[in-house]
Amino acid sequence: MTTPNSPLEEKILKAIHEHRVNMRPHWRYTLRMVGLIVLLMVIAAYLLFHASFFFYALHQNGSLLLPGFGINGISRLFNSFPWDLFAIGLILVVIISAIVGQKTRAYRLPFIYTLAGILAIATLVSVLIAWSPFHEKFNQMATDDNFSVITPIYQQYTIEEPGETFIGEITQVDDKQFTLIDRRGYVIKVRVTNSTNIQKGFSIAKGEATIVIGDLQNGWVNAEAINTLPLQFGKDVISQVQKNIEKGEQIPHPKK
Amino acid sequence: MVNEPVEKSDEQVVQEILDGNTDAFAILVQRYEPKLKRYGWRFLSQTENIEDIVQNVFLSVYENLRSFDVKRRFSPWIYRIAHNAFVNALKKRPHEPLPFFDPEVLFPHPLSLERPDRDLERKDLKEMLDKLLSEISVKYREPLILFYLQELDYATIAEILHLPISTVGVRISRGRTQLKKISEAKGYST
Repeated sequence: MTTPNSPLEEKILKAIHEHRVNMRPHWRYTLRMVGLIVLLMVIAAYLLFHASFFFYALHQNGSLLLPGFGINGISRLFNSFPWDLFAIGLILVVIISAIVGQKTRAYRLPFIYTLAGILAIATLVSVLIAWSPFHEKFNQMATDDNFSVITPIYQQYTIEEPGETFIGEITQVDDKQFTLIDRRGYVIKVRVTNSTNIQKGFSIAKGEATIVIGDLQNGWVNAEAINTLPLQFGKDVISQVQKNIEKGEQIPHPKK
Repeated sequence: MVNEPVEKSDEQVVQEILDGNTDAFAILVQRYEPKLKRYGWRFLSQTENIEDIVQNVFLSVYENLRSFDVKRRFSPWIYRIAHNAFVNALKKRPHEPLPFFDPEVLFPHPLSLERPDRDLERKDLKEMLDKLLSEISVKYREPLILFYLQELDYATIAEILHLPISTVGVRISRGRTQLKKISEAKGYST
């Protein structure tokens, strides 16, 4: 045994020999590491689900089509953007970045690099999940089986269009007006005026899937702009509208 | 010719302790007690209870020795434990609050390379540091102590403080500027 050189050294060696201090077993550190990895995986899994739902919802409710209407559309997109979903996703990214930055060698990089890296990976993977049938299947389950928690969330973010935007199938056309039925079965009467901006090459005809922007007043929408829907999305919309027509679910739009 | 025994590295000593020779821990205490006490005295700027804090650091090092990877360097690891202990002691002081959020660690900084101070400038700075340490803000005090008084390099300091190397460079540079301003205000010549 080495002869202690200082009182401090003597105290420490005495504590060790008397077993007042003991080395912690290795399994504790392994367990801590496993716990941390599990925690990160749980948060990451939820982030990917949440973020992919965010992108899926933007696609499904027509938000991604709004920039096609120019400044008017972009302004509506900004006003009706799901900022709550966006904020939650961002918070989750910050939490994961903070954990990774503190617990790994990522502390060597400025935090903004870690944040940007995780944001990029999360965005890429989430977009891929959004494009896959995953949320479509969930959405179908929510619509058909009416799960008390999931159904309202899916309906709120995927079927309810951004403010003053109407997506549906044209079921009746009269002179300078037409009737639209949307995916919830709401009947919307649309008035076409001289200032209505109609997409080049689009003809207002029965059976067409369309997106209309304009203010709803007294049960009528004075259309500011009318566009067709992308092919597959249009087919999905028509399919949902037809289901509602078969069920006999057609009611006036609740917004005044 | 007598061959002098080659001094074991810290990592070799740690391996010996992990293999069962707990008395070898005394070697680490002998090597690091003066360094950690100096570090603590300078950082906390008072002599009371430094002995207790350093004792707790060594006990914590012993308790957690099995978490240390002997393929890595021991010195930054023990300094990191000491840093955490000193920061905890500092948190108990109401008049020296530590910032919760530090923008310096968020973004990259162009000043990342160590500047080879001229010997005279380094000596002057060390003297100023001795006199004025307690007046420098906590954020800059520690990197200055580790660089000028403990004579560690930027990479080691970054590992101890868990900061990007560029942030270490920025803090040392800003600390130096603050030190010079305080020194001039007090009329010390450099």
